[in-house]
Amino acid sequence: MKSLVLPTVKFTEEQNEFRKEVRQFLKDEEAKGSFERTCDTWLNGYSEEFSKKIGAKGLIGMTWPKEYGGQERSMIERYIVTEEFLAAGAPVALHWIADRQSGPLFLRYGTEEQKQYFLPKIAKGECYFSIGLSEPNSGSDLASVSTRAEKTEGGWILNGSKTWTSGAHHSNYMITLCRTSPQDPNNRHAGLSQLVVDLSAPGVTIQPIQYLTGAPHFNEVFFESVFIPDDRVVGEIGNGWKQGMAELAFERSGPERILSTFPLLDEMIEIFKENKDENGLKEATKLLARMWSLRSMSIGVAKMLEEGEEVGIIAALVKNMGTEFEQSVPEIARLLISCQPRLDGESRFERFMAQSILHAPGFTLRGGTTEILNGIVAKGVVNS
Amino acid sequence: MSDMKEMIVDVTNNIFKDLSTKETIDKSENGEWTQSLWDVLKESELISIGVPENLGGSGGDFDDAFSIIYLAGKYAAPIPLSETIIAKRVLGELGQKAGNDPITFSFEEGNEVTVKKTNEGAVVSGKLANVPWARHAKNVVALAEMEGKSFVVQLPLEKAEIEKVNNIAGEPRDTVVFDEIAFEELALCEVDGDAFREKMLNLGALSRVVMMAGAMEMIMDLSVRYVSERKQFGRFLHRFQAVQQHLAKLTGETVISIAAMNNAIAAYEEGQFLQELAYARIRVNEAAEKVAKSAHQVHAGIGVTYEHSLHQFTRRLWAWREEFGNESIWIDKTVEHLLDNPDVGVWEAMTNTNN
Repeated sequence: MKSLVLPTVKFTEEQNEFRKEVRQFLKDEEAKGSFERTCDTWLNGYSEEFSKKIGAKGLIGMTWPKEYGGQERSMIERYIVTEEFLAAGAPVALHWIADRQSGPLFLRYGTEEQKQYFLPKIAKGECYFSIGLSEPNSGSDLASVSTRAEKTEGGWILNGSKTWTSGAHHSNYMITLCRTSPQDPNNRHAGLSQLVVDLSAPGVTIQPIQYLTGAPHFNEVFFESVFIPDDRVVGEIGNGWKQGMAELAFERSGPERILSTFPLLDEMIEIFKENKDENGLKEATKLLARMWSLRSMSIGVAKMLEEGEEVGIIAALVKNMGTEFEQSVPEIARLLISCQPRLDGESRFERFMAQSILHAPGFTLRGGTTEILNGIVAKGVVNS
Repeated sequence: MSDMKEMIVDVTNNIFKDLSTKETIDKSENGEWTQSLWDVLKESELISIGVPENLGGSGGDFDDAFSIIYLAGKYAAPIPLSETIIAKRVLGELGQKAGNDPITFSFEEGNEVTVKKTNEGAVVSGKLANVPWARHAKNVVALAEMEGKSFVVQLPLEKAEIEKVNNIAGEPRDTVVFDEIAFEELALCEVDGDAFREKMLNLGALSRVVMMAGAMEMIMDLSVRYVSERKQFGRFLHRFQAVQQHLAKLTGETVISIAAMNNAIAAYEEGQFLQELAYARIRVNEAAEKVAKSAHQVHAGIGVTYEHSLHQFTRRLWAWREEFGNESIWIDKTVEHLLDNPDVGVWEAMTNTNN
């Protein structure tokens, strides 16, 4: 690790005005009934209508070049938008992955045709992506994936399966990490490639896996001799590991690793303020101090990403510390405001509690488990 | 940040590396004053960074000043550097000169002197407790009450009675008594006493946040070095997953503390920083416990002895987290603020964008 010091970002007046505009838009939409505020909306809040509305406002793919449907805005402005959506508990899961990492992947490694084909659709909020990494026998040990593609005329034949694929039942495409040459025991990361799989193609079967809330969320996706045309290879054949790791920097450091349970925290504090509950507010203040500090870190990483700096280790730290924070919110809340958490509860507090508790175990798993990421951090620190 | 920051940091880092060593700190704990370190910093004009040149300082902004204070924390410098820099800055703002000797200040609740004017000058009485480095300082800056009004006064410590008291890191935190001490001349500056006290306590708290972040950087360096050099069961310690979890925690807590510190300093420079200072103070204090615990755990036996320097830094974390108000004080201040502003949403406040 180069340095322990992250840049300090001071939002400009224009950026603050922009934030207020986005906030007002969300307030109006919520008032109109476009969505109901919930926790953990970036992986569980699906609304095609709302995604399209956001796309029409130019708030998806907003850092991308205009020629591909983007707005050429800064990473910091994108950060503001994602924060506001999460804080408002708005449904953004459908386009989240495409906006956060599939789009940037195409921009960095994609062909001109891929950029022109996919990016404008993603930016309009009408083209959704899933991430195809984990497999039934490859979880934390991702380099052991066995889904394989074999060369055929004009493309590749894909066989195997992916699992824990969030939202595949709603997605159009999956960026699939697979083996394109046999495993090399001396270089475990070689021979992997990223293919864009059209999830409606013949040979693709999507089997929902019931999440512990009872709702569909994860899927197992099977590939039986699925034909992938040559022009749907992302970047270079054999370079999939490196490309995939670059994506992870975007995946791990954003506000979604801090704010998944923010609607609960917010609701709790409003209740305390109304009841003038000083003891409750004292506990809440500790949470706010953690959140403010995490946010300082996460925004610093966004600035580094904008400047093209290496952020792998710091992004892993934000992910670990942020998700632990998200997880702690319902555990602290339950001791301060007594309730029976219910997904269909009458009060928002009951519902937010149920959503937070039931989704919390996933926070420290998705995007790399805390333990694996801690190992990456420790190695990085010792080697530097 | 000024352009000279990088250079200042480089120079100061090297000075501390040479002169604020484990041996120096040990000696300081046994009562020895580290004059050599003070002299070098004085000659390098590093004791008045952040004080405008027209007020007798070396120029630079407060961010530069805090970068020096950070290093004082990182190297556990056994001198009243944060106190002197802050006192000089504040005296400068009041139009007072402060010289080049160590200065300390004392604004804790209840710490105040009374001044009576006499034909020969003034007579000062009062007790100041918990005064950093008083026994080695030339002057102490404090609040004085005179004829029902509040003043800031710079009092020479020469004639005061000083009871030596140390904090758990072995740093002087003395009790200073002025028992009807006569001074021919005293520079008094009238202020709003409560507001000034609060300002000094805030600056003090910010300085401790900064010094603690610095100490954490050193603790992390020491820990990484130790686990990279020591072997057990035929393997380096850093190869063990259990040790890796501690290293990651140390890194995370250090990085978040530095980020909180920098954002609090930035907010201070914007002039609006009570929320930020409170959050930084609360979070950095939380980090102190975790950092000290993990660092001692990976160092095992040697870390809790004078054979190693780790404890010089962890004991400072434990001492500094109590000074100028610990978490409880800052949590109470925040709660008061939340209750005073019931219409400002949490998110609006967090993003500084109240509608």
